[in-house]
Amino acid sequence: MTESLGIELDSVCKSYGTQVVLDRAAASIAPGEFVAVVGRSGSGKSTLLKLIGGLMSPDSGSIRHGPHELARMSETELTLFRRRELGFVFQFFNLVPTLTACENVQLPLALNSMARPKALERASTLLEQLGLSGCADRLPDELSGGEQQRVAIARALAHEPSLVITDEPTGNLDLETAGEVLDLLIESCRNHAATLIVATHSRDAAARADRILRIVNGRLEPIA
Amino acid sequence: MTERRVIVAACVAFLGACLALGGCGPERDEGRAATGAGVTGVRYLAGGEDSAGFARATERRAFVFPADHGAHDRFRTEWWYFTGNVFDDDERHYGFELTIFRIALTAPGPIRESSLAASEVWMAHLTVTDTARRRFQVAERLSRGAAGLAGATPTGEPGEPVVVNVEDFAMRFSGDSVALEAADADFGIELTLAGLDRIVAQGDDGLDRRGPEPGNASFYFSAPRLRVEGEVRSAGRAPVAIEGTAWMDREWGTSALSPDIAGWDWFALQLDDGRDLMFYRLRGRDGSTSRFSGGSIADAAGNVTRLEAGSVELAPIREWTSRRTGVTYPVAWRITVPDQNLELGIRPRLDEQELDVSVRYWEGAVSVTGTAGGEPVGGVGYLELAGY
Amino acid sequence: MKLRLLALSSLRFYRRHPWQLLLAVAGIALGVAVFLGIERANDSARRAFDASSTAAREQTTHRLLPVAGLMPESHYVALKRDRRYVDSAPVLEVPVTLSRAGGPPVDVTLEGVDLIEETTVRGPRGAIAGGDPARLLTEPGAILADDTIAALFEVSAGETLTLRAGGETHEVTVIGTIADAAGSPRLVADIATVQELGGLPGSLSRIDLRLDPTAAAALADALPAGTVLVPAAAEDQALRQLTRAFNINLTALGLLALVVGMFLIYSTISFTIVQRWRSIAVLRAIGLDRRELLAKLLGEALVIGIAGTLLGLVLGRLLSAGLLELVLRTLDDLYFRRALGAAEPSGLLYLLSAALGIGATLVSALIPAVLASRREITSSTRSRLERGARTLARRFALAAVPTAVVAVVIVRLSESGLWPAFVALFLVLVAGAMLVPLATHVLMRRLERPVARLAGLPGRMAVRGVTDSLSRTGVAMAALVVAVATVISIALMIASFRASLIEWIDTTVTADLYVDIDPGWAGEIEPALAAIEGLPDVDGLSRMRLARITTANGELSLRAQMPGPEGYGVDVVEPASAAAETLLAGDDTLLMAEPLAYRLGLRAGDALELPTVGGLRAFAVAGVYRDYNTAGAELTMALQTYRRAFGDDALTSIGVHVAPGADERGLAAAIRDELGPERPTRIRSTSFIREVSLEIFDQTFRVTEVLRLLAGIVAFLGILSALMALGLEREREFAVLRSLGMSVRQLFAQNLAQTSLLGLAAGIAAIPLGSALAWLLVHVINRRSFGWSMDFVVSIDAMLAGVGMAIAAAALAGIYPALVGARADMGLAWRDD
Repeated sequence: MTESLGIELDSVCKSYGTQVVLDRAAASIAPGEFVAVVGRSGSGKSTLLKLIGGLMSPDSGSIRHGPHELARMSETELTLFRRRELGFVFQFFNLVPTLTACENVQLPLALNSMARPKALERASTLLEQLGLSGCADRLPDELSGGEQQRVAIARALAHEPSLVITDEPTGNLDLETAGEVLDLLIESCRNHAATLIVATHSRDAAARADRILRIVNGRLEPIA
Repeated sequence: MTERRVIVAACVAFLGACLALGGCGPERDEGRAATGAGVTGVRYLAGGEDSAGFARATERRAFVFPADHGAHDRFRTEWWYFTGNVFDDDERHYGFELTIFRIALTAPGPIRESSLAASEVWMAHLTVTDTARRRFQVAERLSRGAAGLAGATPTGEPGEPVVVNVEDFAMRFSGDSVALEAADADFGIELTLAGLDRIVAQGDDGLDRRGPEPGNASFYFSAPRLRVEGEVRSAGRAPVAIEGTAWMDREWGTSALSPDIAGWDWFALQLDDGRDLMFYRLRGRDGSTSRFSGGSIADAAGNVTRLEAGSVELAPIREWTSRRTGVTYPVAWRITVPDQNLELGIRPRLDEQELDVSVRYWEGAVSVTGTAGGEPVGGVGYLELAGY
Repeated sequence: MKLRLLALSSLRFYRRHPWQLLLAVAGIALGVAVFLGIERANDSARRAFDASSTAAREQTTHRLLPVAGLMPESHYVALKRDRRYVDSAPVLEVPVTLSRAGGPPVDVTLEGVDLIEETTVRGPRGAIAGGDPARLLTEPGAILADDTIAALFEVSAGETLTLRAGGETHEVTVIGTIADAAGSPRLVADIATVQELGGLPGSLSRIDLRLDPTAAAALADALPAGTVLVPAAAEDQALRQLTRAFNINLTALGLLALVVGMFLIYSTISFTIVQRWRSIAVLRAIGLDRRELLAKLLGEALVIGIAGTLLGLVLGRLLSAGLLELVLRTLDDLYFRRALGAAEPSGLLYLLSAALGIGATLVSALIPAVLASRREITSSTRSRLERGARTLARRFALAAVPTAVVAVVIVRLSESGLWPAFVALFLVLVAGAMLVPLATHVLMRRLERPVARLAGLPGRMAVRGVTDSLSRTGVAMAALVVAVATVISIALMIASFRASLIEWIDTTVTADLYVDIDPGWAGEIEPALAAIEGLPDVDGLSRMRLARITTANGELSLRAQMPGPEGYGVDVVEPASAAAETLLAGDDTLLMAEPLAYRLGLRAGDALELPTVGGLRAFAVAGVYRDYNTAGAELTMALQTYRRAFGDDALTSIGVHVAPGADERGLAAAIRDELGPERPTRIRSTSFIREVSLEIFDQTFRVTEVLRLLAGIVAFLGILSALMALGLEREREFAVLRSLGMSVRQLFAQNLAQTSLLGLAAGIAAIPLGSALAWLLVHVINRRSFGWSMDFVVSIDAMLAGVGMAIAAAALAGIYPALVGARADMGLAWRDD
């Protein structure tokens, strides 16, 4: 596991056509911190997460993970960075439909060139930890929504990333399951000392964060 | 008959075209629609066909029979021409034409090893006009002049018949009569014509000039009133016995028509009063009558009066347009011979008597009504219209 | 309003996915183009061929032939003087040898005709260029050369040629040229000229007649002595049948292209439905009924069909020009007949192509459209679709069995006839296509473990991706399999044919040198032959007489032979394992070439009547031998039998069997010496015959190469369309993978691996299908088309080439979609729609 890195956003701007989404947004996130990002629909939460995850480049401003300035990294470096340092959990469509739960969890390990037996062992352990032992050989469409999200969390954490980015990870789940999944996510990140950034509408989820950032008119405003 | 020479010329021209094009239908029709085979023929002949090696008609001569019923190989062109008006027992009228043309492509050369070798093309036309049924029937034969396929038997011995044939169409001259035998699938003739002893030498005692140059002339004689007996078959029916009168024209020569001649109109009429009239008008491109036009009028007693170009007035009185070829012919005429006090109306037995074969022309049976010296006179005859 | 909105939704969908529209249009366009191209070429070729083959006989109804040798011309004159037979034309054909400085002499036919009768009896012959045809009559030695000879000898009107005929050398003047017509290269001259050149005054080969039935009956009752009257159509009929067979073969290929195009449409329409399922479901939810949905989908198909068809008509016209050239050349090679050139086909063909194009589009769109309109609104998840597809795959596979059975039954029940054979062929194709989804499924399950071991999880994903997408790739796969199977089958058929041909040539060509003998040199040749036989390097001689005889079954080639040390050189197929020597030992026996036997429905043991010197005589068909010669209307008999029956003791050629290791060139010179300088001859070494024959063979099948390529392109487009759509559908999955840290290259490689696997599967599936088709082509279609039998050759090369082509097509088609997929916007992972 790598050391978690601090994240620095400095006057980040992003617009889609004439619509300004982020306007000189700035923030600083400490290693291992759990930050919730809130805001109205369309306020730019997802954009912010994509920018932080290097899936998209800002129009201007800088985003740094520790010493790494994302804008200065090549496509290959970015890919390697994501492969090693990041884990994602999405609202929908998280799992590769043609791979079983266990194989989905092994995927980041395989990409990081972990030997197959070792990867299988690690994936099995993770699934067991998340209470999914029985589901290991099922395909995603044979799993319930909660199970799918738990597999997604396992996959996001499998390679012990330093940063986990999730966008409404529980938005698609019933309240009870949502709570369980969130618990699992937060606990796992804490265990691995990974930084966790969650975009959410859920007050409950936000309330459990170390810090809440709200996007208002393209700017990041801390909520005490 | 000068005019028929043009037919022959046309025939030669057509043969050339026919061989060259493989006789393809469309081309043939186009060519005809554009110019007309007769006109092409005139040009062909006038354009200077090589007449080297051929004999020419320069001096008058006496006609000798049976030799002159046969072929005259040393001249380029020759024809045997029979037309007649006949009636069956019910007085139904039929017209017939049987003609044979000989066209030499080159002057006779050395005899070749193959008996099929030929330098002559022979052509024959048979028509039967069935006036009652309003049908005009045509058949044609074309052949090389060799091996008995077409030709005339060598003649010389008096008393021996002379046979002229193109394939199955045949004329048998024997004494003063001639037997004609020609048939197609649905019609035909089997006739005996008597009266070859009465001959009219046309032109200058048989030498008929066609142009100002010496040698540009033909030997030409007619048997103007042959008595016809025999059978005619028409429209696929059984043969019927007929009787009537016929006209024979015989001509041979190596002559050429002037290029400004468009065609001709030929009349051969047998009048009730015993007189036989022949006149041909060479028609200039401008519609004028050439000074080399001419004819004759012969009475029963054997007196022949020559008709000069200017002595006959011709006026077309009705035209007919062929549905088949689109060509318009003047099929009815008024003929006036002031010197003879003759005024004749010529009407076709049938409008549609056009031959659309290798050469295209109109040749048909006509009836004659009019006055001779103020007295009413009737008659029968044949009219030929070429170059339209 | 409703309609407008529906149309708008369709329009917007396709505006967002223009390539899908384009590919569908291109698919149908190509199908139509290939069909029209082939048919147009076919049609033109057929007309041109008809024109050339019937040109000389269009009006000829009968032929009067001498029972043997020649007939006197007096027969002809007699006919001409009878009104009933006046439409008759004389023909004298004389083989002549044209010599030229610096080249080998060339054997041609000198045809003597009467040009005046040509036009009235035999119909138009094509244009004569150059001279005044009247010179043919008036000039002894005036000839027309056909274009082939004119080109070969570089002669034009007015120049002379030297020819040998009847044992003498003549100078003839070319007064013009004539278009090539039926048969071998020829000179045409007036009948009298040919009589003189051939030294045959008074003789004719035959008389062509135009007779009505009454006249024909009358003539048959009163035949001139020593002649037979045969209908002229018989021989033409044989050629016409062959051409028709060739045409049907081509048409089948054209239809095949259209079928592959149909797969493409089917695939595209299914795809757009899957892709739009959500919006379709919404439309249905808010009240669009099934019929309206069906109408909407079919309406789209109609527009695509019309656009594709129009494009196809234009393309087809262009294509046909090129194809025509190939088809004509093939006809030339097959039948040694030169067609007169292209004729513009009727507008009907365009209408037919258009109707087929639009009809095919609608038919192929109907199935997915009906399925879509019947589907429950809520059944939208993909996995269920996939499971449905798997069930469907099983059902299709089950349906394939009866389809194949029907094909077998059709072949069994129909004794002959090409159309049933082609119906069976198509049924087998369809059965094969129906098996493809299940076969792919099974194959992928087998492949998964080894591939996963080799390439890890991405490999496993690639394999599963193939199975998983079967509902959408299945049809494209089937199209690919059909195309590849066709290619394999044609390749196998050609390989079989080629192998059999080589064997046939090796059997047939026994001698090492063939020496042409002047046919006029009959009696005195034996001493010369004995001298040649005595030459040190000569192991033996075979004597051969080739004759054309006209029978009630048309004109046949007769090969009369006195075999050399290696026997007759015929490959007897019936009765099995019989030697020609034994079979031909009896009196009045002959062997018959297989195509002729097939055409006449004769077998060993039957009898055949031939016109001999003594009148019609029955010969026993002692056996049937293989013959891949063009028309294949050949008989073989012992030379002594021939001489007895036909009273002709001339020879056409002798075969010289050369001692091993001898110098052929030196021997050829020695043979020339023995024959004497006054008998110049052509000596051919057989060492080239094989190459030349194979060259002609390969040339003949070049047209199929083009068609193979076209079928390949259509299949390629199909698979491209499927993969493009698939890639689009999986964009989000790609985005997830990318966000997991998969590089563009990895993703591209994985995509490409998947499509290559698809190609591999198609290729493997195509092998058994292609073999089955090839079997049908070899044993049913070719047999019924040409009467040829051949040994089936399993060519591993052809099969591997097919698999390679399938992989290449799929991989090529996969490149662009893989690139697009690999570069997918990672942000897509974020949200659902």
